[in-house]
Amino acid sequence: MAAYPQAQAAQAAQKPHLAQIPQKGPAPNPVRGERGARAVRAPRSPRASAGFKRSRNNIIGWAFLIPGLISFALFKYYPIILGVFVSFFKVDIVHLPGEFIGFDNYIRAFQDNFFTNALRNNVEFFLIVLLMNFWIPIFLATLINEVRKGKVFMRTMYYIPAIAPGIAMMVLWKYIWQPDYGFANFIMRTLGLSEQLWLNDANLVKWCMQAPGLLMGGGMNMLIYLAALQEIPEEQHESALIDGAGFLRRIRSISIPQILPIISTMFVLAIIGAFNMFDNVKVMTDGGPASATETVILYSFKQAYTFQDYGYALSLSTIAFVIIFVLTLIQMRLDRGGNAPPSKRARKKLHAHEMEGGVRDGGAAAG
Amino acid sequence: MYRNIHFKRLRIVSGVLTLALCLFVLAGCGGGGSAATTTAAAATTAAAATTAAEATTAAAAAATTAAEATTTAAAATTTAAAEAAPTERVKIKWYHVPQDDDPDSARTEWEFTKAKLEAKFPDVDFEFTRFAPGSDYRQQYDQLLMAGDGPTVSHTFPYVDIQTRLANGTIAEITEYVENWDLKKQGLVNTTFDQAISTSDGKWYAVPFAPYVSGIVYNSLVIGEAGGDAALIPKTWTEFANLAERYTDKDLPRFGYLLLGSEFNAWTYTPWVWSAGGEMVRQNPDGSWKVAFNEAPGVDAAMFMNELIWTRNATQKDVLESYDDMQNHFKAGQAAYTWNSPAGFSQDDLARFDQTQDDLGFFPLPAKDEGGRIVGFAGGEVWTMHPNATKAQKDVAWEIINYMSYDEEFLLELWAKQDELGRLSATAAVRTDLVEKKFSMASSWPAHWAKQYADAIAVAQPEPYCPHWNDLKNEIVKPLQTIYLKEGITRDEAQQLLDECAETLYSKYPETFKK
Repeated sequence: MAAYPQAQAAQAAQKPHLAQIPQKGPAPNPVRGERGARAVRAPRSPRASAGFKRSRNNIIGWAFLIPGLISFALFKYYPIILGVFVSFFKVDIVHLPGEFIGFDNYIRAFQDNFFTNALRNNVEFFLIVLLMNFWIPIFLATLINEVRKGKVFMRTMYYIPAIAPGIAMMVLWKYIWQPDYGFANFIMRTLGLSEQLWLNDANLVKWCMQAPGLLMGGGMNMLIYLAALQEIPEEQHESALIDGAGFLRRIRSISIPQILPIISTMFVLAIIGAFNMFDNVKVMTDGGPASATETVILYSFKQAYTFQDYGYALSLSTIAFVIIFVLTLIQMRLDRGGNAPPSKRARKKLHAHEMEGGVRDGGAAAG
Repeated sequence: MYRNIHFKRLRIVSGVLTLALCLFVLAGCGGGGSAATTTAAAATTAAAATTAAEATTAAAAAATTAAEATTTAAAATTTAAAEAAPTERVKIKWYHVPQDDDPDSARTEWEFTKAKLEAKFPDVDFEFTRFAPGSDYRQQYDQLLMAGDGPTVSHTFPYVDIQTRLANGTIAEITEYVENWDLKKQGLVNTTFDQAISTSDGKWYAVPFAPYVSGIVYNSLVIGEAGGDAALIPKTWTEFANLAERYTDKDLPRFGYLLLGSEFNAWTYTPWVWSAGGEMVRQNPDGSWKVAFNEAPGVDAAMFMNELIWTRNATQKDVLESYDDMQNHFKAGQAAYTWNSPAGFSQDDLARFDQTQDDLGFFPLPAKDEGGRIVGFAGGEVWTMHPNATKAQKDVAWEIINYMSYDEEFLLELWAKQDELGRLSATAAVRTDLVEKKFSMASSWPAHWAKQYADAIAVAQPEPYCPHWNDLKNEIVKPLQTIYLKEGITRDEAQQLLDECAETLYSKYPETFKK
């Protein structure tokens, strides 16, 4: 340990100074200077030159970012801010924005049974997604990653349903679940089981709605997990195999920990997706039966476009936005906690542990 | 060296491209001066409101547009006024152009009407357009208003919307025109909707466009295939349930009656309540309204629908099916009875399903066996004007209304044309002296329709029109779906659900609904 700083110092001493390193490129013109006629001024110091290059690269980077930033600012953030602003008004369509009513719309929201019902529906949808849709792509990706032959074929087969247009698939599934002449009840009859109301049953409807989601979104999610799994160096699995680790042990100790950041991101997306549910609900049930699938965004949409209560609708959207935002922040904070470098205290502890181990090893060697 | 130059060129090219992209984005945002573009953008945004942020965006964008709209509209009005001064030309925006998927006959009829309008009003600048296909006309109308746009004159709204719309200021007051209307003074204007389109203090906001009667439409071919006789018209609920049960064969599939259980279920539930001897709402002496659907007839009607689904197996169990899908099933020969009006079945439309008007017939709703009454359901659209229309625009709009719906010469020509095209609608003329004339011109209708239609008109009751009527209809969707779908539901449970709904209405709209 003691020799290490000395060795570093020796290496540092042998290193030529940055200024002494010959610059790449053509030799400077002794008459016109490095940059020809323009370079009559004193040549930049290497540090200044590096800074200039860096700032020039920054400008180019910003130039590429600007269109995106403008678009986001204009089409996302500005309307969001404006939406929050309008949510404090009782909107008058003809004389906008109408009467300022402060937090009345928000107070009303939390006293509105339909809104709390919609919020509960969102939470239930999220739990069903977790139970039904979230882990299956991870499981499939893990299995496919283990397959030696036909991996591409399997991957393609699982991905193909994701290519079909979402709305068309939802309409198709609506007919599959039709309680009188739908395919699902045909299967039930064939198997001698009792027919169900499916989408018309308040207890089953959420599960039925998530089934096509598994086929449509599952393939894409599976590909994302598979890509992450394939990034794991093969040597790690091989070493584990040599050490006698079984399939489940390798999954638990190598695969899952390494794709955890992806799982975490997908989890955040699942939260966002569950709280933003709109299109599939609108197409398959329109919030029915008996409001069993009415989500916050659908309820907000109906408040705006069926009841013409735009201010209230915007307050509902804002609440949904805040919920998603807070949940995402919590998830990201938890995620950062898992991936963050060890704290100072932990580092000290680790160092002490290494030292202790080193002494013990050293002692053993000496012995 | 070459690499450096090449990289430099790339950077220049990328810089130019970035600049171009920025300009494109800015042009896209700042350009679009036309209200139509703005509206389309607002509509698109609204339709795409699939995320919380985007949902917020939709209304916000609409609000922004509206904020701009006031200025734009004001500027447009000023400009229009300045331009109109020398030539006295008025701009009228008209939203009733047929959609792309409308039958050819609709387009032919439209070309005829358009030519007539332009010839009659040579000094008017017409802008003919249409609502975007596939979305709710009420939403679109409001979005257009928020964008400072919208139809100058329109026959979009059913009369039941008028009390709500006059309260939120989205239609213009037209009292001065109605009060000085010679035809009305002569008693030649249909008065069915009068209370619904005016206020108790004598202000007017609309005039009738097309009254219709709804009831049960039957398909005699389907009934024949089911071994029945279409001439057998049910007069009571029991007769109706027996026939519907007999005509049902779910394996085909074929239903005796198509029950509307989705978001518009109050529309069909209402006449069933009437036929049980009840009302949906009753007016109190102070002008407010009492909710009445939770009285015994309302519970009877809901329980009868439950019986049709579960005991009789005479209708579909799918309460989520949309009205349009249901009607398409009927046209495709998958049902014997449906809720509609003969006006809803043009020859063109039926031809797409290999059906003809001759196979269809019509009767009013049967009465509840005890204490019920046979009823038809009167509905209809009315003419309204844009709330921000100028005096000059209103004057012209009023002339257009009179020409299109009350000018005898034009109406006779229009009906002849519609009859020739096989699309003379089964709606009553709003000129009371021309009702018989219109029906007598209907050579393209099946012979039995005129008699059946007249029978239904005789027992027709107009749809309630109280303020928040549409809110009431939306509120009742949930309890009705619950009652329809619960096999073996008791009468008490149904009563409780309807009572709860009534209480919600009393608490949500206390100024309208009072016990």
